[in-house]
Amino acid sequence: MATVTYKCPNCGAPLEFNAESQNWTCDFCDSEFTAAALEAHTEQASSFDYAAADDPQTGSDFSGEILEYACPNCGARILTDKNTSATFCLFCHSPAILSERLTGEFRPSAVIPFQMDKQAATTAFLNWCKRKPLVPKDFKSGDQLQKISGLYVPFWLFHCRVTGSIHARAQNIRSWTSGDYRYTETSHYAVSRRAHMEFNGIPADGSQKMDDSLMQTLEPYDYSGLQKFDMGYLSGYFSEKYDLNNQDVFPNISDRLSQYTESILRGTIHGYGSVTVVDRDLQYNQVHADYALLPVWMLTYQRKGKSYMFAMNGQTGKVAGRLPVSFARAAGWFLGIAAGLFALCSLIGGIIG
Amino acid sequence: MTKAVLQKRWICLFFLSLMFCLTVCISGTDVLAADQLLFDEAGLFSDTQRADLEEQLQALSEKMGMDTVVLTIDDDLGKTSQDYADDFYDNNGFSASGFLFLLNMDYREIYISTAGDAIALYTDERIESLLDAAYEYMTEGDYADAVSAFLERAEFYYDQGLVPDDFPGEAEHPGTYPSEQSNPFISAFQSNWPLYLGISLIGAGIAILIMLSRNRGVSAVTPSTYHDAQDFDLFMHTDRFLHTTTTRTRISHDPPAGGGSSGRSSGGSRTHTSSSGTRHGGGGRRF
Repeated sequence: MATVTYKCPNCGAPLEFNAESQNWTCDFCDSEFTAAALEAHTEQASSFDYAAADDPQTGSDFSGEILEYACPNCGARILTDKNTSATFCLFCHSPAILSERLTGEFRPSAVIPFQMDKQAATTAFLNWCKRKPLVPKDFKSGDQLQKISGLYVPFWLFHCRVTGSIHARAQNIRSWTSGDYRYTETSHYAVSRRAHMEFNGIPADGSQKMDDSLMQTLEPYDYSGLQKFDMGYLSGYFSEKYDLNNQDVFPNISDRLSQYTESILRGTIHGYGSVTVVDRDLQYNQVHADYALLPVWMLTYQRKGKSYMFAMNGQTGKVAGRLPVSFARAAGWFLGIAAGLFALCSLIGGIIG
Repeated sequence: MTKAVLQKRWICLFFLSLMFCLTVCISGTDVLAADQLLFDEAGLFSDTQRADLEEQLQALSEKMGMDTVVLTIDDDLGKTSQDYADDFYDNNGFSASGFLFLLNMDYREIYISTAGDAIALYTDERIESLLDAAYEYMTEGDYADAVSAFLERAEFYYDQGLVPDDFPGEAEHPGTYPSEQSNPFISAFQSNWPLYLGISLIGAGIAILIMLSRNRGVSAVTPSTYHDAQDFDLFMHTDRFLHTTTTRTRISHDPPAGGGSSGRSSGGSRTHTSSSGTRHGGGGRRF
């Protein structure tokens, strides 16, 4: 199978995508290349297809069954996950893009390139930690960073035109006193709303092994940053192809859409004291899903023998994941606040009493 | 002993007595009770009873730091028990705080008059209870027992202290009244501290939960995040009126607050001004 590495035309070293400059830089000779230059000047080193040589049948199967490739730089045989579409050679650390996993039905239509490089990601993460009062002190120092890797996660971006409707019961209550009686008047209404709505870019991750709720916490991505797909963007990062197609992930999307449409329609009902939605309906008029690669920084921190994994949106820097809790700090805050409230209560009690 | 040591001893003694006098002065003259506290003008008690009761009164008076007086009469000179008791207390040099228990055999009424700090201590409710204590004995003619029972209960209430939440900051003079607290902060604290503890624990708990929830990333997506607001076509909206239901409930009128101008539900002491202009509390009952 053909594995691709982009090579610097000046010195032959591997080229990686640089998030800071949004160009391709060579670590060795400091040359910089734009996307156009990349296409025009670089060589795509392709490697000898060991797997095909061993077994002619499997050699041409690019749907992911082959788990072995050869590094274009040093020729080593490397095993990979069946969904990996971009990785690094374990031996010479040269980026390797498995082009066959990015063609045909697996060719992404768009990609958001990384906007934050490794350094920026680490800094952003530490800043995020700093603002949390219950995180243990030693966690914030950054020495605990065990592993950080940039990964393009396969997403299905859904564009839907739907017709949503809700039926609700609403009430208005009025009360007044007259003579010896208290009157309560309740007016009942039947309320309906129906609308054509359009939603663009609802993401669902197409990778089984990526935790859906973790990925959802990274949203939203800014789609104005979407670029037409080019393999070059993957150079220097890991990447996965999808193993869940758009139909597999659709139920997830449809749940979210039901929620969103009900909420939006509910927001158009005004002027009542109380509203209860009794019926809801959603019709899909048009559904279209685009396959895109979105950038994610995965960080693993170690503390007291435990590993904590965090995901960060490689474009916006938003963090998802669970921080450890320092019991000592939590206790300290608890007692401090309790003491403060106690003093405040005593003071107010004395003044009122 | 050398002259120097003797002199030192005298100096120490002098200072000690000075301190004692100062303490007495500062804490008020109430430390030393009046000479006589039992006035048996109606001759209800035997000699031994009289001696015992006087002793009881002196002890109580010293403990409470107020004059606790008992007076029996068989001619009220046409005055009401209230006036007689108030005037007797005011005009006979008793301390500013104290009470007088009058056994008016002429009108067959027992009456309690309170002054100073005793007004707050013996609320109307407590006065009723004190009269209850003596009443049974009075109807049976056991006057000495009546007074004893009365004094016992009076002491009991003294031990209990002030009924909370009444008369905050009422006592302006220092008094030798250990359980009374003139400082409103401390009295409020004493009665309410479990409530404060509960509030502070719950409040701190809520704060900690909020901080914990921030320890993880939170989704920033709302229904409108992916919604194209420009293309929103609300093509059907109906608001249809169905019907109205009206209910009415009769408002119950609370009966007016039982008797008197105080309007306080529990605790509280009604007061009046005696002929000499002193404020007194009190209550009585015919037997």
